[in-house]
Amino acid sequence: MIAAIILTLSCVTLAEFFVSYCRSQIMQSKLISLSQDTVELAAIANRSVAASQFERLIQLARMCPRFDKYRSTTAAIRVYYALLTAVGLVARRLAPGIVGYIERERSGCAYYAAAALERRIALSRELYTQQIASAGL
Amino acid sequence: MLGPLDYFLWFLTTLLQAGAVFCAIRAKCFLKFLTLNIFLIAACVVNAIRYYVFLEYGAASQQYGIVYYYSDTVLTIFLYFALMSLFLHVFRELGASAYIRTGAGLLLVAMAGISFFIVHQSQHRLFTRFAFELSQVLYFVGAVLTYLLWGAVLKLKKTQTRIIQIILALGIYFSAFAASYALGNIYGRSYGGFWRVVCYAAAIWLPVAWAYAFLKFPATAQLAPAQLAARAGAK
Repeated sequence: MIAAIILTLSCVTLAEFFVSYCRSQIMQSKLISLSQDTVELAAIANRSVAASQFERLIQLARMCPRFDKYRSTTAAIRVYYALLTAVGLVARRLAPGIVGYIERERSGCAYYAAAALERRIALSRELYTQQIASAGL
Repeated sequence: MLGPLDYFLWFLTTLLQAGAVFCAIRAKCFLKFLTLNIFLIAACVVNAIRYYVFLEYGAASQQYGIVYYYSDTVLTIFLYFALMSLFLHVFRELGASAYIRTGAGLLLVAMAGISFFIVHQSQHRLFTRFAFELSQVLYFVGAVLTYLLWGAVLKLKKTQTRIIQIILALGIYFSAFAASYALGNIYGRSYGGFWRVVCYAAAIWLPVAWAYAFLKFPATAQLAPAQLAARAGAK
């Protein structure tokens, strides 16, 4: 009985902590403004990143050279996005009221992916500039 | 019986814990998060001791069982001290009086002391089901304390992003372990494989998330915690 109560409450706190963790990552990423290059490369319209672009942006970010030592956290956001997508599918039938919220969260994940792409492009460019400078070109 | 993957994850966890300490030193925040780093160093030492006992006596031996559960509970108590330092930091930012801060600190120290006393007095039972139940309770208490701490953080208008990340990572760690132990208590040995996966995942998670928080976020980076509360109505 006690184990069942602990299991239930732990799952609730785990979900709460995980969602808050991912939201904090997304909020931090929103402090990064997307450059024109990234917007063009990722074909982002009106600088608003649609939720459906998440997978493509993650793929693009993966294609960039990996100088970014912080790339590991995209895993948490990918899990969050997958969970949101699954919950969204269920919510469409059972609780349409939260569909809008889920869509906003998914868009946040997509923006996070775009910010990751932005960071990697910037790092690649920085490295390229350094190489050019050190080669004396 | 441990397979190659178990060995790999065991060593990986130890390396990541040492790596997180290195990241704290590199980010010049080793002393600021001293209790967290002490836990990470202690976890590395515990892994080395466990490996030695494992080589000497084997994974199914009583000696290994006792060392495993004893060190597990002691490490959890170390994490209580890490929590205490985070509590004190958050209470200071909340502007709580010195009495409240001292009271909360003493309460956590007392809790850690009582937990250690129970563990120490029950060494002879650490190869029984009691050890499993004790670990489950200690992790659950950790999850509840972290939840209370998170509740206090949400009262702040703004706080360091790094602190938020560290607290949330710790909450995920405690909750995952508490849920995992509770599941093990309910379903017993049939659940062994899944239990190991969750334990490894949580053990890897904490040093990675902390190292990320140390390196990625400067001390000046701040967030408004109220915006992070998961609410369906939030925009």
